[in-house]
Parts: sequence; C-alpha cells; structure tokens
Amino acid sequence: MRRVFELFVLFVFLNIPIFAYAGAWEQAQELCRQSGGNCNYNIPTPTPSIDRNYSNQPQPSAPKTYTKPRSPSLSPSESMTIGIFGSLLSGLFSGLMNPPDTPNDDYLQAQKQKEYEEQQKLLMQKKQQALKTWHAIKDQPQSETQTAQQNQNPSLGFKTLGSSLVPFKWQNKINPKELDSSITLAQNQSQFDLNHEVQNFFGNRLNDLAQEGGKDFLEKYHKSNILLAETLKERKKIKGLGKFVGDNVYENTIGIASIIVDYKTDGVAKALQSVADFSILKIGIPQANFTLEAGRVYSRSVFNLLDKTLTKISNAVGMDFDFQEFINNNFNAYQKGVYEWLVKE
Amino acid sequence: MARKGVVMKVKSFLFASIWLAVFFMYSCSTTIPYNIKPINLESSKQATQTKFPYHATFVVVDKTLDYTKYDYDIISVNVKYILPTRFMVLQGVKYYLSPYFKKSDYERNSLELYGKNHIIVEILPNSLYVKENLGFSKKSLDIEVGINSRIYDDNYIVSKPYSVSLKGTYEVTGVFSSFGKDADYSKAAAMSIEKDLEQLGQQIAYILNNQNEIISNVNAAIEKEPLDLENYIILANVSLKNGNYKDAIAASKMIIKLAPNNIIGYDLQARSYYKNAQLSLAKKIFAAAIAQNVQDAKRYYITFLVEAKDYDTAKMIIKQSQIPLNPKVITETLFGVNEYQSAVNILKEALEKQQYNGIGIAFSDVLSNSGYPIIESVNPLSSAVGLVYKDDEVVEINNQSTKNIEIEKVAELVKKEPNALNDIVIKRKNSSDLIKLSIKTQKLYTLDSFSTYAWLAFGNYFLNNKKDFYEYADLSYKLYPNGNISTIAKALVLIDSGSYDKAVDLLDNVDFLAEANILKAVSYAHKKDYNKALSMYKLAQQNYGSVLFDKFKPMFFESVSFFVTENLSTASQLKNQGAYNKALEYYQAVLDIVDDQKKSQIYSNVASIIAANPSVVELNENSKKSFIYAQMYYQENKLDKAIAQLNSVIEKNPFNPNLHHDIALLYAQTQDYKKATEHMNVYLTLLPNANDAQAVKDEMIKWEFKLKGE
Repeated sequence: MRRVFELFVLFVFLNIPIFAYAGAWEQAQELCRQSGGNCNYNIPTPTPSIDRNYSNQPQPSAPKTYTKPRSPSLSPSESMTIGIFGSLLSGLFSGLMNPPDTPNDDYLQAQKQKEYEEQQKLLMQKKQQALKTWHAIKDQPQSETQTAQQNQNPSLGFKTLGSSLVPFKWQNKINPKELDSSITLAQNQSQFDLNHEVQNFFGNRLNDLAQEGGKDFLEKYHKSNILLAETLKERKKIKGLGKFVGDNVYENTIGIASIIVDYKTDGVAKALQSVADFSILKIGIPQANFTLEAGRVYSRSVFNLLDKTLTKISNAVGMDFDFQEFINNNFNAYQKGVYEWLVKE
Repeated sequence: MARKGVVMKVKSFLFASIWLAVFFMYSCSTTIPYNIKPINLESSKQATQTKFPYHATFVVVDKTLDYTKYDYDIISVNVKYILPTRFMVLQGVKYYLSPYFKKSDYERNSLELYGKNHIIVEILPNSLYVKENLGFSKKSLDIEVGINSRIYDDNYIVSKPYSVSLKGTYEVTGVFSSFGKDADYSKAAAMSIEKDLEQLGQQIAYILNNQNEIISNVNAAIEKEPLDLENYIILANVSLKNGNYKDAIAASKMIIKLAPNNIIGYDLQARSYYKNAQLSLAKKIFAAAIAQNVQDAKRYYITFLVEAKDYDTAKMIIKQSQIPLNPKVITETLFGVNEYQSAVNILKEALEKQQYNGIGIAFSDVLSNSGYPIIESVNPLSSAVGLVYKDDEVVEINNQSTKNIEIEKVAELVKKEPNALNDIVIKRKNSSDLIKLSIKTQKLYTLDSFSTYAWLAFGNYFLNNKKDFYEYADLSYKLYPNGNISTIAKALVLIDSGSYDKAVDLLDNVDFLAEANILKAVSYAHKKDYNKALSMYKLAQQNYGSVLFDKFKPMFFESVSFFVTENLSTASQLKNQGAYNKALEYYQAVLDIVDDQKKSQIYSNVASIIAANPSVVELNENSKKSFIYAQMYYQENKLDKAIAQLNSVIEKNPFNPNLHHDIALLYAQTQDYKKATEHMNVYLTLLPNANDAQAVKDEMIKWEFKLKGE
C-alpha cells in the first residue's frame, strides 16, 4: 500500500513540470502570434519548389549557429517535452545508467560545433571570393565587343551627312578598359590639364580672339588666310551632298578661315555663329587619351569658354550678347544636340 | 551495506516510475485528423481595375496543408486540421488577381501565343494555422493560410519571392450560440482567402511597376549573399528587359562562374548579346556551352535560335541533335523554313497524345451539399453539349450512385469503349426532378489541344488546304474561345471569308499580340482604311511576333497592293514633272509595306532623283538631333541604342544613302552581317556611283564570307 502511495506521489510530482510546460507553450504561442511571427512550429516553411524550366534553385541561407538535427519521427512539441524531461532527469539517468568511464555527448557535440564553425569559415571565404569575383566582372569591359570592333576594315570609315549639316566623323568608341583609369586620371590631374587641353585644342586662337578683341583678330587672320578661306567658300558651294566634304576641311586653320570669310561677307553675327560651329564641331573630334567622362568635362569647358569668348567679342564690337538666346537662334540641330546632351547628362 | 541496498532499491524504484509515467503519457496521446472541406468562394464585389494590357498565367501549386493543435493534458487529444488549398486559392486567384490583367489563364500551354509581356505567377500555399476562441458570449474561429509567390517572365524569375498571410475569422455571437459544424471551418478558410488575396495583386502590380527598385534590392542582396544564384538570375533577367545589357552580361557571367554546368548563365549571356545586336557573339556563347557539355545547351540554343528567327540554323541543329523539344519550337522552325507539311504531321502526332475516350464532362473539386459531383464544364466538342450544363449534379452513372464519391473515381464509372452508351442521371440546380440521359463515349481531345488545332489550321492555311484550315480553326475556337491563338485562327477564317469587321472585333481581345495587330491591319486595308492599316502595321512591328507574324506579312502586302500601285504611279508622275520632294513622299508612304522586290525598285527610282538633286534627301532638324544622339550612344559604347537611334532616323529619312551606309557599318561591328549587307545594298542602290563603292563591295564580300562561316 505504501509503495502504491509512493508511486502516486512520485507520479504527481513528475507531472508538475509537464503541466507547467503546457501552460508555457500556450503562452509562448500567444506571444509569438502577437509579435507577428510564424508560430506554426509543426509546419516548417518549406523551400519553395522552383520549376526548373524557369529558375535555378536558390541556396538557402545558413543558420548562424550549429543546431543538432531533429529526430524526424517526433513533432517539435514532443521533442520539447522529452527535452524538458531529459534535462530534469539527466543527472538521475546518468547516475543510474552510465558507467563512470562512458564518455558523454559533450565531446561529440564539441566536435560537431568545431566542424560547423569550420564549415562556416569556409563558407565565409567562398562568399568573400564570390563577391570579389562579382565586383571584378562588373567592372570588366566587354572584351568581345572590342574584338568585334577591331575586326572592322579600317579603310571603310563612317560617312558624313548633308552639306548644310556639320560633317561628323564617326569615331572609334572609348575603350572601356581605359575608362576607369582615365576617369581617375582626369579627376586627379585636376582642371589644369583639362584647360590646357582646351587651350591647345583651339590653338590659343579663341583665347587670342578674346584678348585681342574680335575685330582686330579677325582682320589679322583675314589678311593671312584670305586665299584659303575663299577657296573654302567656293568648295562649300559645290558640295551638294555633305558627305563629299572631306574630314580635313575642319583642320583648325581652315576652320578659322571659314570664320573669317563669314565675318567678311556676312558680318560679326555670322562670324560668331561660325565660331560656335567650329568650336562645337571640335568636341566631336577625339583627343588623345580622352575618356568619355573626361570628354564631357572637356566639352563643358568648351561651351564655357565659348560663352565667355563670344561675349567678349560681342562687347568688343559693341553688341550685347546672351549665350542662351544665341543658342536658341543660331545653333543648328547638331550644336543644340551636343549642348542638350551635355545639359541632359 | 544495508544503506547501500536501500539506495539501490530507491534508484530502481525511481527509474521504473519515471519510465512508467512517460510511457503512460505518450501511450495516451492521440492525434485526430480533421478535414476542412473546400467550398465555393464569393466573387469579388469590388471591380479591380485592369492594370496590365497583357497576359498572365497563374500557376497555383496543388498543396494540402495541415496544422496540429496539441493538447498537453495527461491524456492528450491533438487535432490535426487538414486543408486542400488548390480549389479555393484558384477561385480566389480568378476573382481577385486575374482582373489585374487583360487576359489570364491557370496553366501554361506550350503551343499558345503569349506575346512579349507575358508573366507567370507561381502561387504556393505553404502554411496553415487554426485557432478556436471559445468565449462566453462570442465564439470565433481564426484560420490563416500562408502563401509564397514568385513572378517569372517567359524565361526566368523577375523578382525575389514574397509571402502573404491570408487571415480570416468566422464569428458566432450569443451566449447559446455554438460552432463546430463542418461548414464553419470551411467558411473560415474561405473568408481568409477572400479577404486578403487581393494583397497579392497589389504586390504583383508593385513589382511590375518598380523594376528599378527590384534591381537595387537584388544588388543589395548580392552584397549580403554573393553565392545565391537567384539574385544574379533576377539581375540579369530584369537588366536584360530594361535594356541594361552591361549589367545583364556581368550577372550572367557570374552565374557561369558559380554554376559552370548550368545552362542558365550561358542562355542569359547569349540573350544579352543578342539584344545588344550581337547575334554572332550570342551564338559563340552557346557554342562554348555545347563544347563544354553543359546540360540542355542544345535545347536552349535551339529555342534561342527560334526567338532570333534563325530558322535554318535551328532546323540544322534539331536534325543533328534529335533531342526532345517543345512542339512550338519545332513547329515555328518548320514554319520558318516553309516546311508546313512536316509541321502538320508533327502537330497531328501531338494531337493524338491529347486524345482520350470519355463523355466530355469535367467535375468540380467539391461535392454538392447533398454529396453529389457537380459539373464544372462540358467539352464543347462532345455529344454531352446541350444535354448537361454547368452546375448540374450527377446522381448516377451507369446505375451506380455517385453520392459522396471521390471526384477522381467518377471517371472510372464511365464506359471506356468508343460509342458505348452511358446512362446518366442528373439533377438540375434549384430543381428536385431527376433527369435520365444517355450519353455516348467518344474520342475527345483535352481542352489544351486548342492550340494544336490552331497551329494545324495555320499549317493548312499556308498549304492552301482551305477545308482543313476552316475545320481546324473552328475546332480550336470552339474548344477554347478565350485562347489567344484560337482567336487568331478564328479571325483568320473571318478575314478569309471577307468578314473584316467581325475579325477586327475579335482581334481587339488579343491586341497585345503582333499577330493580332497585323491581321487587324489586313482587315483595315481590305476596308480601304489605309491610314489605320498602316498605323496598325507599325504597331505590329513594335511587338515581338512569332513566325506567324512574318508569315502574315505577304497577306498584308497583298491587301495594300492597290494603295501601293496608286502611290507608285503618282510618285512616278511627280518625278517626271521634277517635283522630287513630293515624289519622295509618295515613295516613302509605301516603302515599308511592299515586298523586297518592290522595295528595290523604289530605291532605284529614288537613286535617279538623288543624282538629279542630292539635296532632297537632307535631314531636317529633328532627324539631325536624333543622328547626333546615335553618335553619342556610339561613343558611349551603347551599340544597340546607337543602332536604334539611327534606325529611327532612317524610318523618317529612308532615302538618305549615308544613313544606310553608317548603320551597315554599325551592324557589321556587332557582327550582324545579314543586316549590314542589307543596308549596304540599299546604299549602293541609292548611290551607285559612290566614291567608296568598290571598297564597300570588297567589304561586303568579307561579310558574306563571315556569314557563311557562321
């Protein structure tokens, strides 16, 4: 009878944690739901099946710490119940069941933790390597495209357009390989180099023009280049299709000569327009070692210089000058296009 | 000693007691399954505004969810709620998501025409939660269905997957109220799906409207998880769609790095090159994949070639490789090389696989309240048409009751032998009368064979077998009038029989397809409404069209032949009168709507005008501006944009020889020698005495050589 009573007491005693746990479980579920989490513990969120026709299987993100694999035959609540029991009674069980020299699970657990950490370390290395590769690929130029261009017949150049248009020479594209280094170079070398290029580009003539006063400058150049300029004027008349205008027509000297002819025949306003024509045209002609970005900065400099120069010339001959108005009234499509492009970008 | 003995006894006693307690507790734990029956959902009361003028396919994954409510008493009685989701979720999709799109379906049909903006939405129900709240005066039942969803275009995934939780609460109020009937659980489940599924529509709309945000999110995700292939796939695919080929190529290269044996990276890279007008490079990528024995490389290559409309190469590889392919790929290839009879034979074989013996009745997944199967649809080609209707209840089949039968087993009650008579007893909705019917078993084709019928109709149309063309087109449209391709087939029949107005009305339903637009153009041309015909034809050219679009072109040219003849005659007169500009206007009006031979004649006529007065082909201000943009793009290494820009100038100035010369060189740079040659031929025709004519001809010989080499 006493044994039966002992058994009853023990039974009640042993069940206390189970009742307590059952209440805790419900509370935990309620808390979880209130927090908006996924509280459906018995249904783990499955990896969505991906139709192999559409996509590739994504790699699931790794857990932050190692967790021992669960027994598939038990539900999480069953596992938890047994876990609580186990922890409460582990000392007792080990005292009862294990001989003193039997190694416990800690060693294996430690081994697995170590293995897991090594795997995580390896994974981190792989990730870092992948990220490095990705950045390298992203920054890499499209080499195949370059090869394709190099295969082109160099003797066959792009055409130019109609005579009333500014002929444009299709240029080789910027080599993206040089892009990064050149941008950096352009940025590092500061505005000085760029201005220097601009000055060289105009052969200092626009600067002279500004400094000397437009009229004197034009007169001076008129005297020295009149023959060439008049020849040019004649050539322009017989052009017909603009594509027949040779690219060399726009060498600096001839360009300036053209301005002079316009000045002599049509006056200052026309000469200003010729200056603009000539200057903006040159933007399209590539400069050695110029990248796209550097080219843009350079082009903006040309526009700025042009604005200042034209204003000075105008003032020198007693005219008011508004650059924006000048653009609206005098720029052709090409010039407006370049200008808008720069403003847009 | 005695003390040690007592301790041992206590230990044994404790050990036995614990095991007894544990054993007792678990032996008393039991789980009772509870099936929540799917019911019909109520349709949406609020009209959803159609946001996307194209087609969506919703693929709802068939999934049975369960949730176990654990009872932790000593004698535990757990309840496992089981909910088959497909029936209700699919209904929810029809009511709440489909209205966002002009057209939608729920299964991808391999021979259907979808157009370039088709999307596939995969919906995967993945979790269930049930909670019963037993208050004193208010009782309620909460059901939550978790849904995971992904969006794909016709090729790849376009966004990271996202989850939506659909929550519904069914309430009963009053002290003496009670719930717990089967219907209550079904209602709560239905409410959860009805209430929140529209969230998914808003999500889809957001994703499709915010592609740039997706790109930036994916880029951020790559920084965190650089080994996750899916991020690169999304980045490559979305960048490709947005025309950012540099990023698309970079991401696809990374996919190849991470998964060198996966064809996806190669496919995306090749597509990026192709879209960047570099067909030759795209082919090289596939060649590399095939050389490395990447799985499925040939299959993907053939599909790519069909999309790039290189049917000759596609046919050659199909013959060489003998690999199983999507029937549409084979059909398009054979149509592309004008082998219609072979295509018809293959399609007939495919049709045989879609054949079955039955009475043509499909049942709903749920039984009626009285426990009988409900008719969901009747095969329009079966003899059951006119005898049974949607929502009829089937009470008996061949003298066997169908009460509470599993839906899968209903078909087993039907006789399988062709021409056997089946005795069917049905009950009409809202009527208690039983109706006895006799329906014959016959050879039928599954509903999805509508697309096979349609292709058969087209094959016979091009073979000039009018009778078969009409018959197949009719079968296709009868079987599935909501299909895109069946609508096109039916419209072609209407055009062929002179019913142009009806054809236009019908084609309005599928106006997102290039094939529909060109047939509309044909209809307008027959109605002498040439302005509409031309604008519709231009619209058609903007959309990507299948091989059918190209095959419909001669029909369009023929329909506008009168208009063309009139214009050419007027142009010729004007030319003779020296009114060159006016003459060019007339030539230009018809240039895009004539075949290649006539086009060549027009260029020759214009050549003599240019020789007489070159200034007539000068560009206007806007064209000059576009030309400059083309130059800028070229300098920025954006070849595709440079070509597109130059093409836009050519569209307005088709007779300026230099534009053709320049674009030819651009095409040659992208190794598209076919187009390069075409444009250079135009240049030489317009300017036969060009200074560089010999150099151009020499170069063209090289292009021809390279073309052969490919």
